[in-house]
Amino acid sequence: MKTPKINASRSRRAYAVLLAAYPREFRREYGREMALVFDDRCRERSTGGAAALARLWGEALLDLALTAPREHLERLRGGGGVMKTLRTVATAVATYAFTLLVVAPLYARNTGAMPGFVNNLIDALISTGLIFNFVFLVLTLTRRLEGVRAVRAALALTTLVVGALITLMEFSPGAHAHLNLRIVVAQVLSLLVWFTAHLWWVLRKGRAGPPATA
Amino acid sequence: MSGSDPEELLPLSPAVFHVLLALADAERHGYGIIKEVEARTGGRVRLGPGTLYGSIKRMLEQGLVEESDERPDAELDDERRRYYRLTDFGRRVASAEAERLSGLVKVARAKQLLSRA
Repeated sequence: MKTPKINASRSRRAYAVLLAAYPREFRREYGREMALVFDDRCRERSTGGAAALARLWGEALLDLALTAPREHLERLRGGGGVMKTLRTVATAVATYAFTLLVVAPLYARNTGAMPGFVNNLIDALISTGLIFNFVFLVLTLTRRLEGVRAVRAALALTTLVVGALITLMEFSPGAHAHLNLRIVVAQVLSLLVWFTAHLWWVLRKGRAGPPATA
Repeated sequence: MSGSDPEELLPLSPAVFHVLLALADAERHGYGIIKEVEARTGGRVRLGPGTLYGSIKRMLEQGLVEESDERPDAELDDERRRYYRLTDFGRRVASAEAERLSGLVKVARAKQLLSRA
């Protein structure tokens, strides 16, 4: 019986995606060659069928699981990386704690006493802020994007998420608050506020000098 | 680092020692190193790409290996690949590790843990 050939190109593409698990600097330096080695592995086992493919992937995933965390750890250990990450995490956690423990309860208690638009604005600032900060934190910690590019990406992703949530609420059965111009303006304003705050933060950091790891 | 005492880097991790051994007699690219290690160990040691290039990165930093400027013959050359070779310091570190392991083997033999001479 003829053994089916491995679909090498699909495996190659999948492995190229998985290389994103390594730190960006490492990927830049060795990613291409790692993909070449995986390519060679695919070729040498191309006639082995499903068992060879399973073994190939088992080894590749184990190797990735063991070595990617190590490379991240080494990057963090290198000159000031830990402090930079800790500062980012501390800022994000403080923002979350302040929003959830101070702003949200105060807002919930006084919601009836405030004009409608102020309610919408505070509501938007809290919800958008939680999402914006989370997205920005993930982008920064994983180093997918940094600086102004991370802020721009966070704005785009948050806009998408907020838009999706509003649409969901609008069309959910039994919805008691319907979309109106006030809500839209409040959401846009809050996105601008968070965008400006993060932009100011990264530009200020940039002026303070490049990080020690650069 | 290349002026350091080789003993300071011992013991080496198995992956690093295998890479040093693979480069002891020839310059090789990544896949060449993997194949040499596999052939030498009868397939018992299979270095994954992450293990190999993580080790190479640290070995370059420590001055144990260096990238080679020389390329093999045109028909054998793959321009996409980087070739690596041992430095003098890398060779001294590999020798020191081999001596250390040899000492351990002597102890094992003296304690009759090795069946063959």
